Amino acid sequence: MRSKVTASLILVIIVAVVAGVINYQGLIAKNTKLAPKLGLDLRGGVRIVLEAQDTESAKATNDAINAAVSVIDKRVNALGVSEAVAVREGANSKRIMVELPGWEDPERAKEIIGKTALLEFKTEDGKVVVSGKNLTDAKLVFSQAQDSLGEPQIAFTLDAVGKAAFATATQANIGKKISIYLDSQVLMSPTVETAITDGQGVISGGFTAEQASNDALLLKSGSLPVKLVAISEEVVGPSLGNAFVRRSALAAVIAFLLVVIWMFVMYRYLGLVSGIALIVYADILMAAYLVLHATLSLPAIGGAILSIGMAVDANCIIFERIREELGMKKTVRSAIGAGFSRAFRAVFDSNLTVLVGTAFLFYFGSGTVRGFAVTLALGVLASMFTAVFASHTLVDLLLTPDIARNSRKFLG
Amino acid sequence: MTFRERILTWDIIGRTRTWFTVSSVIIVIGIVAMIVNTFSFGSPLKFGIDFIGGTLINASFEKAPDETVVRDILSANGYSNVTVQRVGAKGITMKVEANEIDPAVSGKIISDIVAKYGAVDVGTEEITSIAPVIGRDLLRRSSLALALSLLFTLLYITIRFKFSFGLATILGMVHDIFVALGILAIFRVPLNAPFVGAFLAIITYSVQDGVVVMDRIREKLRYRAKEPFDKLANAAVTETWMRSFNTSFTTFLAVLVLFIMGGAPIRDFSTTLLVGIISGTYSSIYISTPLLVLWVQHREKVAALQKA
Repeated sequence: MRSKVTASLILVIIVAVVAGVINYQGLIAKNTKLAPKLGLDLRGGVRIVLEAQDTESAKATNDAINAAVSVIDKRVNALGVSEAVAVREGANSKRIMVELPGWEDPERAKEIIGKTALLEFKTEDGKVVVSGKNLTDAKLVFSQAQDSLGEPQIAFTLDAVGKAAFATATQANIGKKISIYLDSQVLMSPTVETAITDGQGVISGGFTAEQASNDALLLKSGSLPVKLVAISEEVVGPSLGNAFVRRSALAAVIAFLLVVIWMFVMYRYLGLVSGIALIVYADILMAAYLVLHATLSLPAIGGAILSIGMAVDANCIIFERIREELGMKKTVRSAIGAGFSRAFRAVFDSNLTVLVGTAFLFYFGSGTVRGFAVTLALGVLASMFTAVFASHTLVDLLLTPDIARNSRKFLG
Repeated sequence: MTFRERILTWDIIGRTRTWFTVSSVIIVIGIVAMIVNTFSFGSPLKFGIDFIGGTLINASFEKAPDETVVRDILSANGYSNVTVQRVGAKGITMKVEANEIDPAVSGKIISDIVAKYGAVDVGTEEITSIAPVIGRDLLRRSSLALALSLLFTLLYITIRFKFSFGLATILGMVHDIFVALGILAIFRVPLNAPFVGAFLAIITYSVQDGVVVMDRIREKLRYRAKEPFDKLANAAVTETWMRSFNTSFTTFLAVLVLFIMGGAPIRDFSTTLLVGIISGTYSSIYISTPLLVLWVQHREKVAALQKA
């Protein structure tokens, strides 16, 4: 028994310390990898809704829209917007919602997100020899040639298939022109002098450095398989903003103190210990949010508050049970043991019911619903961990013979 | 006799009729409010800009506009459901819950702001219509997610307990949904994106709270002698009453602090949560359990008749 308590205690201490270090890194030392991820409603940014439209060459099919979402996802992430989100509005929706927290310029965002970015190399008779999907890399370079020194260009590298096709095409077209098109616009039409067999080249088309850099980014993340039209764009001010985040952090502290006071009034010694367990719980929960980059938006905060309620609930269930066991004239120590083990089923089933529910919400839901499900599920898991390992251990550990003898001090 | 001891003497199940009447009255008032709303405003609930879309007016001025003043100007021009936010140093964004704005009115709004804060910066004024954040598809998908999640919750309770326990819990939750929707309808609280979160929270809370009470009934059934089911269920709810109260009260406290400190932007969100917590606790004790008792008593009666 004793060794089991020690083992739990060591586990709890290790987890709590690791969580504490993570929280310190993310919240105080401002380590960017662990910074709290705030949703658009808390932080502000740009939200754009795009709608896929049928064109003659490309129908807005399910697959095409899903592919478009992943292309956009790559693009916004390549932009360096942390926490950017690109989601389809529904399973069969033609709309894609893109959120760029912290971003301010909707025009540039639209340019980058909505552009098809279809790169094609065509021969004089209009045959496409290589297209953007054979690209493995594209980047901005500045020309080293004498006549165009310093001009921004896009250097590209082709994959094996593209390399072979390009070699054959250049071989067959020596002395003729191969034109490079981006979204059906000619960028350049160089005359082929020798066969290009290494699958590399540069495109110059009178770019500015920014254009070349944007286009390179687009080419690298692939072309959109379907035409997308922006149907709404908005700059979302941080509707709740920093002031709100600070106020809710303060609200959380006040709420925590009130809960601990109430628990002390109701359950005396046990209530006080549950306060310590709650600190461990909050510590673990916050670290989980940071490590898993859970997006904290308003619904997510709802999920978090609810999970705090459930953490307290686990304690209430257990303490009421201990009280009942004491009523059966058990000793304090055996009442604690019986209380924890008998209450476990209720805690387990109520939490697991919630987990089952959240799993399905996460799997089938999107956006807001997912955010809620994630924070709630993390909260339930953290609460079960503290209820199973921390609370019982702490109650046993901090119990002095004096408290155990005095039922008023012990449970009120 | 202490308060705790007194609780154990309460006859909660015996007064089933009272609880059902109270709930029916609240729910009926809510439904009437929804019907009245449908006739006078076109929809049973008041859907906010996130659901129906709206119009966005952006502009920058010589001086930084004050959000409250701008809100007053909009309201003087007939738009009271607005979100006003400062953008950058001198810009302001106004979100209006209307799909179209008469150019004359929007011109008047801008000129009213200009009168206070100086001329509009050239090229910053724009009026765009915005699509709903929560489109029909998203709503449909979320509802499907919810329905499936409830179905599996029911399945889980059926496996761990019994089908009847699951059904009673889910019915208690349906009760909470109607109470919450009814109150939202009565006070015409505008529903926006956060509502989805609050709504999910209510449902989860209701189910979680119900399961704890059901657990006690399950435990008592294991040691059941000849005790009638209603007595057994009553003992279960009175024994867990204090726990239910303490849990709800502490969660209530947490949300109440958020309600007071979070201020206007999330008041609707926290109100919905507060209603849900009260209703969720109430229903697991006073609605779900009596429903389970009615169900079991009916089954026992049928079984007795078949024997006879």
